[in-house]
Amino acid sequence: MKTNKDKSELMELKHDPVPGYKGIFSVVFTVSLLYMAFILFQPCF
Amino acid sequence: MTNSILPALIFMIGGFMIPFFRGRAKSIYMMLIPVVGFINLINIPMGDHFLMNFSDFKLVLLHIDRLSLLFGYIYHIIALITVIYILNFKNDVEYVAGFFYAGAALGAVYAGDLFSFFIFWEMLTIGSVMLIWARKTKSAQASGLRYLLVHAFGGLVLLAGIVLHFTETGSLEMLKLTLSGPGSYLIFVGIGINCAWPVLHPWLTDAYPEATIGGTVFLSAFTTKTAVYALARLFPGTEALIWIGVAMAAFPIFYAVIENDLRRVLAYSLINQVGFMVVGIGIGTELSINGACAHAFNDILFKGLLFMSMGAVLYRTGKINATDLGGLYKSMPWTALFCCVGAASISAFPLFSGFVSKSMVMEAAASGSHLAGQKSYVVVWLVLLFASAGVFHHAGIKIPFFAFFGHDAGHRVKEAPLNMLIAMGIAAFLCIFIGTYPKPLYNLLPFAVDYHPYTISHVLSQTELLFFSALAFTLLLLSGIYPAEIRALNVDADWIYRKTGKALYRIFDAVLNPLNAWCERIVRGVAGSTADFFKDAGAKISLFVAVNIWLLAGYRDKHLEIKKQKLYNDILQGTLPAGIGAAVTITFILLIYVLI
Amino acid sequence: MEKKHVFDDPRNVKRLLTVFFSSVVILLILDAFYILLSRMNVIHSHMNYQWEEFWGFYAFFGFVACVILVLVSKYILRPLVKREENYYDK
Repeated sequence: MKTNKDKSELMELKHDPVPGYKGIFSVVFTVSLLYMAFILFQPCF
Repeated sequence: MTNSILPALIFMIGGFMIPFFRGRAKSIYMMLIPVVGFINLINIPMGDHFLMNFSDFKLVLLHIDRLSLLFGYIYHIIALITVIYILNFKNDVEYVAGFFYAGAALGAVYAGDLFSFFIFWEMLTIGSVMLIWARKTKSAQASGLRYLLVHAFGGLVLLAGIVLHFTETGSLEMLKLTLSGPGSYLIFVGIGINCAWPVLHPWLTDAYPEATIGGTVFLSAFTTKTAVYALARLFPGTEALIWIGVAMAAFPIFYAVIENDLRRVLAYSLINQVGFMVVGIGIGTELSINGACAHAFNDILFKGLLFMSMGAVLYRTGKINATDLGGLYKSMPWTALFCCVGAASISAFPLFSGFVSKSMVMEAAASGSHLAGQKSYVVVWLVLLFASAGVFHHAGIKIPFFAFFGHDAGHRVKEAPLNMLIAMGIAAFLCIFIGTYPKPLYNLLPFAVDYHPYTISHVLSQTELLFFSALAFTLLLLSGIYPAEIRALNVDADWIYRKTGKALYRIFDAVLNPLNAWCERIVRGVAGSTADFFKDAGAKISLFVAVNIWLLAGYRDKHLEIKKQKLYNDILQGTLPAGIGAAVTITFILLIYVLI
Repeated sequence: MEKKHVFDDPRNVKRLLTVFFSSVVILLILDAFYILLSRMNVIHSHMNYQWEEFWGFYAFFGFVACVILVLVSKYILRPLVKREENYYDK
């Protein structure tokens, strides 16, 4: 079907990391995850 | 009522006349059809019209109440918008099929009995398949055929259900059914196929991205929403719908995150939005049914708008994969703006249309969970909240970001044609209008509305939810964790019939073909060797006899070889001296006689 | 020379990010004020669950939900369902 692939068409579009953000992300995610777990373990009513 | 016309007929007959018009008159005529239809509709009083007696059946072709009116209005509005959108395509097949399809949807919504509902339901399938096939690519033809097969099956299930229901109850009225007995279950599942319930859904994500640019806009509006209407009419308050709806809202967002074809991303988010409506119908309170209907109304507009913006991108660049797009805000700023309005509406940003309708379903689920025996609604609420965050993530951010911003793919194209921009502009205006001033929409809903979306807590909580979803996207993207866009195919439930169909074919191919070849080899082998044997059987027997005689007579080596060759040739060519020939023949006959 | 567009300038991208990150923080501050005011009964708050009374419930829920959504899609769903583009044609 797509044997004659257009040379200009990318097979994969990666998202390059910007230095420094991975650390921020890990910290924010860990804290949020723990906080969320804490909230959801409370009774809802 | 005597001088009103059946709304479906205005669209269908009006549509069939389109090819007789030319040029500017054609454009004006096409835009007039929904307008005339709308004027006709608002002049029909509430109640049943166009009653027909068809032997024992009492058919009601036009049943007008608040529920059917709401869907009728939005169908007229989206038909007008879509017609403006496709004016530049000059494709009569698309025009006629589009109007036929919209007319069928109107017919189904206004049908007052199950039989005429079924007839229009089937017409819906025909119209939509034409819109898919009008794309004329090989993959569109294949997926159109699959679409047709699935819907033909769904139609049969529905018909069987209606027949059983009629024999059980003797009634064809479009009234609330309870799930009891095979008839009601079959009707339930038959509608569910068109509603894209999980596992029954892949026809949608398979076919919608393959349809024509305008066809997809038409498709996104009618089939699933007509099914939502039918559920709201026939099965309000059916608890199974809550859990079906929850599954619909949750699973497509995962697929949408890794899907590369942006129109397929929208198809997945369409299922996700219909999930909210199905939950609302399942809860069955006045608030939740109002919410489901209002959300259907809004979804037709913002999903249409998103499909129109992606259609414009496809029209100008010829590409629709996220891997091939990006940076288009530079050359298509208006389309980008309208797309963002659609994205904000589907994500339910305050001041945009999704905000005033989706929250009604959420609120109904949350307040329902306080009632005795409905504690599990807490889970419903949590999953819907998860889905609300997720929908912003994939439809609200992914679509505009990968098409119009992000990595610049280098397309330098013209802005979308004027008629497309006008169509998108109208839809965008309506999204913002309903979002900021929801009262007119609330007045149209089936039940009286006592709901205020713009409270401080609601605005603040929704804004928090969305901004932090955006934060998640931003941080994931910047830290390089966000999954790469990959040209690939993600298998879904259609694997069941697409691959097992092929597998069956392969199994038959693997078993039957070798068997066939093997039999053929045996037959050929036997026949061939028999033929070989009889070709020179006489000569060989003669040689056998003669060589023994010659050996006794003392012939050896070269001499013997020459004599053998001569005899063999003589027998095969029939150049044997008559006497020897006769002798050999008699010997041969005698030999056979002795052997037998 | 092609016209320079808004986001061609990395400084503008940076500005946008700064505005976005600040608004996220401002939202959390607003939420604290909101809780304070509703505790003092200055504004009426409509709550269905006790969860909603926690500071930033919706914010953290949205963030965690989206990260989990992406991680599950990337590391669980994609390896399970990803096939070549012509998978069904083979």
